[in-house]
Amino acid sequence: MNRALRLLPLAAVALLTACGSSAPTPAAAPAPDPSPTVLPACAKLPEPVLPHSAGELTQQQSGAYCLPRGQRVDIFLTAAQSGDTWQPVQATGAILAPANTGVMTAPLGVTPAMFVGTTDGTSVLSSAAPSGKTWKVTIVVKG
Amino acid sequence: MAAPAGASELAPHHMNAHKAAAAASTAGNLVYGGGNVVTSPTVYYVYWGNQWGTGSTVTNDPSGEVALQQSFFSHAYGSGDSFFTSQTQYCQGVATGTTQCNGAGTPVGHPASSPLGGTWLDSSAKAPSRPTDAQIAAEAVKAASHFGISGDNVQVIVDLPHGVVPSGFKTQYCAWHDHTTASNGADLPYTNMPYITDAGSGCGANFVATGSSGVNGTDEGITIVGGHEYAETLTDPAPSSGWVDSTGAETGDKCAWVSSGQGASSIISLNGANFAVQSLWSNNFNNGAGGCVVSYTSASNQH
Repeated sequence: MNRALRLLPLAAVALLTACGSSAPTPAAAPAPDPSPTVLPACAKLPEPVLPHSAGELTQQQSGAYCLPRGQRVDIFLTAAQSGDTWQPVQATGAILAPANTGVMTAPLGVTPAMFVGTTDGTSVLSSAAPSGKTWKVTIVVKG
Repeated sequence: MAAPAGASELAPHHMNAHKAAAAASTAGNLVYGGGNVVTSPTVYYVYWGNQWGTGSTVTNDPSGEVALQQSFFSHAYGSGDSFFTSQTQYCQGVATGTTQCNGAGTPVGHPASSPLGGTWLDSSAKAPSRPTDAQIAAEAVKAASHFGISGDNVQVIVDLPHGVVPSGFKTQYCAWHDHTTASNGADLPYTNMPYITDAGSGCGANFVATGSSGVNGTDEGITIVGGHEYAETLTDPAPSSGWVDSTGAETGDKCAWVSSGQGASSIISLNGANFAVQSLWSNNFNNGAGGCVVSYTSASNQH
């Protein structure tokens, strides 16, 4: 788990977005296009175990992870005990598209999910278990 | 020759060790993606590595996986198999987005005789203790060259020996299927099949009560997982261009580890021999609403 990333306040990201770059702008420069979205810092995904994947996440990870646009992230959430199976993983927004989880037989008690990053931006992946435990990770899709 | 016995559900009740799994996906029916299905299935096994045995015969197989796998597929044909028949409702050559073929296109094939096309012990070297995806794919290609096969109607199952644990086996997956390119450039579906009993209950050991079926509970995962991957290869040999639901799940994934109610894993008879299986997704079950079934004679006769 990347503690630095976990502690990164999203407000700071918003502030950076509002202020733009600190680099000096030439006086004669034309008015820029609408401010590009500044994406939050993100860590490299852990190595995948399945073919065609950019990386994988488990219930051990939190924070923000980078996903190259067009590539796939795999998620495996393992129940801590029988009957406490994680609910299907949900993704906010529309930058992640569900991908084929059926290529594998997941072990009993493992909730799998796969998503492909379709456009640049951020999405929050989340799930919850019957015991009340929750899991959340931010995916940052970049081209 | 006597007509083969029809497949039947012999042991619909399940052991209590496992909490009832969620009964099937809520993501709706499978949808055709425009690619191939397997219209004439043939299965080939390669036993990878001299850990299986140093000659041409498997001698190191503590759970008897090889014999059970071969028996399973050797019995999966004709009218005596009403389990895999549920997948014949899916087809190719229809419009992308189709959910009910209704006789159009070319259906998934159901073999009239054993679909087991061949087996080969590749004892030329030791299989890596932790093979990578690329190494498994390369072994599938090597086996395809040995058998002289390629194309989406064949599938090569790469059987890993006891004790070989590719990354993710037991914790993230029990097995998976994919496709690669054969040496002649044609498509080649293949399956990474680790030594399933090494995973114990996580990959199906003792998932179904055996009753008087004669099935060995500790071996159930071999056919539960084997049937899952075979059916998914039938309907989606080149993932994910075949039949997949809106969340990306294939036919077996939608019905994995159902332990009670409709579509519960069961022990069935294939041509008179008993095997543990999980159910498979049927789009035309329940008047087209879809569901998990273990027996399929027709759209109006399935459960």
